[in-house]
Amino acid sequence: MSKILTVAKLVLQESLRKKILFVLGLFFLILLVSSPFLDTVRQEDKVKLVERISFSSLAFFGILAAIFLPAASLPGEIEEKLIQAIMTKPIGRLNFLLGKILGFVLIIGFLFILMGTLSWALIQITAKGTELSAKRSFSAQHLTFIGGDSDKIKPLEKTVQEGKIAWLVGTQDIKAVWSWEKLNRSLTKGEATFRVINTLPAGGAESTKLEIRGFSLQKMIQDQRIVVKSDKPINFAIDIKDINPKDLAESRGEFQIEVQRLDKDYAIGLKKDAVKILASPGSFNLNFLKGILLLFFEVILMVVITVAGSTFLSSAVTISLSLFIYLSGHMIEFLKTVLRTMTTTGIMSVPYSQNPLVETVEKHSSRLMEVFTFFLHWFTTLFPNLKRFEVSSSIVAGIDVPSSLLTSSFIYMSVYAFIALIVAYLFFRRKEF
Amino acid sequence: MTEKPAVVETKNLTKAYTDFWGRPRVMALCGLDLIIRQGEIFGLLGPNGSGKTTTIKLLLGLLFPTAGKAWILGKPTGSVAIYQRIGFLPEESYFYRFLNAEETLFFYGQLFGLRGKVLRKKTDELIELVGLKEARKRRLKEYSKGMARRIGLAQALINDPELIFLDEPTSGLDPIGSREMKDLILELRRRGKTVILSSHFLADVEDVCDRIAILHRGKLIKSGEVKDLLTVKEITQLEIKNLSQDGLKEIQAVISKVKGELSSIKHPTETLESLFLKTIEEHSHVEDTNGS
Repeated sequence: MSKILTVAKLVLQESLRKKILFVLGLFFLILLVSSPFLDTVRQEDKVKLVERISFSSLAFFGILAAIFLPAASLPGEIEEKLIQAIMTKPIGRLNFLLGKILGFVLIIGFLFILMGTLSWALIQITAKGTELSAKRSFSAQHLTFIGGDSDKIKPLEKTVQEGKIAWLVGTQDIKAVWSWEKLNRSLTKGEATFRVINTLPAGGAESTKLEIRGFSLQKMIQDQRIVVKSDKPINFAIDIKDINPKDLAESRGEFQIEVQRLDKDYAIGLKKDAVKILASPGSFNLNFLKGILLLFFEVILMVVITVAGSTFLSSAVTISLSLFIYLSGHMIEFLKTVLRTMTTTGIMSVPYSQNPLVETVEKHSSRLMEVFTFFLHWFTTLFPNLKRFEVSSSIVAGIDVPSSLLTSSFIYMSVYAFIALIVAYLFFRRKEF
Repeated sequence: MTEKPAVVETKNLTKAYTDFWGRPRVMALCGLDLIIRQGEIFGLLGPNGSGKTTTIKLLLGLLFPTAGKAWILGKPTGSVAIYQRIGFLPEESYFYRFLNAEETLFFYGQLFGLRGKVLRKKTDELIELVGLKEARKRRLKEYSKGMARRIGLAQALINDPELIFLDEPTSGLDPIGSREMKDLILELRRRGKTVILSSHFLADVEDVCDRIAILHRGKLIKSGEVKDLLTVKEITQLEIKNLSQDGLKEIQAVISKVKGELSSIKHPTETLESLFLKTIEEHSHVEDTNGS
């Protein structure tokens, strides 16, 4: 262990003496300090802007350091034959790699503490007078499609699975119902944000109406009609502060929100996590810390991946590979959505399918499509999804980052880092110098 | 006299550098059999590209053999444990240029598990030994080639090794530095260390080595004790003190009587350089004849 620390210390010395951190820190400072002077009208917007800039620059400089520092290090040592004197010392090749990784993680950790504290202080100064908080968000446990009373259709009850997009099509009697259980934490201050991913015009109409109702203990507490436009996502919040905490306690925290179309020629795409209930203001500071920690996990993973690449690639190629993995990692979620849309469209509403898109997709799904789907499937499965580490939008929106995400992301990062480390060792073990 | 234990042993040690597809491109070393015993100063000689550095790197586990095996201090090469007992001065002294002499020795010392006072004392001793006392706080990027060579030697000795590999130890050193290096190598022998060195400077090798091996195109073409190899066997040298003119005449008479031929009064020894060049030339000739 002490020899790993010796190598880590050398990495720290190198980074400090070569003044890499100094340059990074300076750029960060300029960027950050100038952000409150940017022209915005409202104080709240200003705070959000500073928050956004803080997180983007933390991510940018963190990832920059996580890719460029390791990519230059080992290939440089091999090129300059520095490695020969080290590999003939009793340290072992795996320990040497571990020492390098530890050194980079420590140096970027140091950078994060510095930049994080600065950002936090600046946000606090900018936010003077406004309240900074983090609301807890509750996703629905179920999304169910329920058939209406119409004589023409059989009663329907279909549960939509996590992550799938379900199309509400056909007769207007069908309702989509999101339901919660065990909701009890100060919901009196809650609101529900509502997000429909898309609308599909089946006829010629440009817009349609949706009816949205909120229920607590079978009692309707909200009934609203909203107009939605074709091909535009809907972002809508219902205020549910009228919920009686007593009712909620009596129903063991059960709560439902249902959506019904008022025009049968319209199709809307829904997801289980499209509706969220926001409640119980939490600590902004804790949320901020969680955001930085998640970003730091991403940095650790990128350090290990870059060190792995640098064991068998030149500096330039290592940088390219790491950037590729980083960018791919941020596209995974989008690609998964594409994949899901390709493979699951229409399934949820088969009995009522009049959806032109469904028919078109089915008609044209060819061999090529299958190959593409197969490739996309493996690509999205094998590559790390790095978007999960970047939660700045939640923090800026004042939504609490669940602690479970921190735990799961740590495990996620560890698994990928372990795989990258094995790859690194396999290449480095028999490397000749 | 009992033979001292073997410190280095190679059997059919072979290294072929391969191309991207794994096809052999260059035979850097072919079937080297070598035994180096404790306390010896062993010289590896050969022109550029003859396999000297390849041999050292194979022994140090920096390269992996294509065929054959090698043992160092009784263990197969490449095992981490043996590094605790060996020292290595690489061909060119590349070290971390952002560190100063002291920090460099601290770093390498810590890799051996040395800490605190022991490390500090060892560092002071070595800096004194290699004559860098004045420059101990200067960063290595300001060092001349000779100074870098000295710090290289110091790091090779930080663990008080039993076996020391010196790749071109005198390159980049001025005549005084070169003399000091040679004295140091002899001092190491006095302390019972085994030294393996490679060099182009034949006079240096002649001065310090007990045994040598000459490599050419990856093959061992001559090895043995330096004094045996340099002795001209067909010439006998008599050293006689206070020999009178009459005495000399009588000896000359005896020599002619036994059909001997007195060639000169002073008998030459061949220089290592001429032996080296002659051997290489002979080998090239033999190979070229066989080849054509």
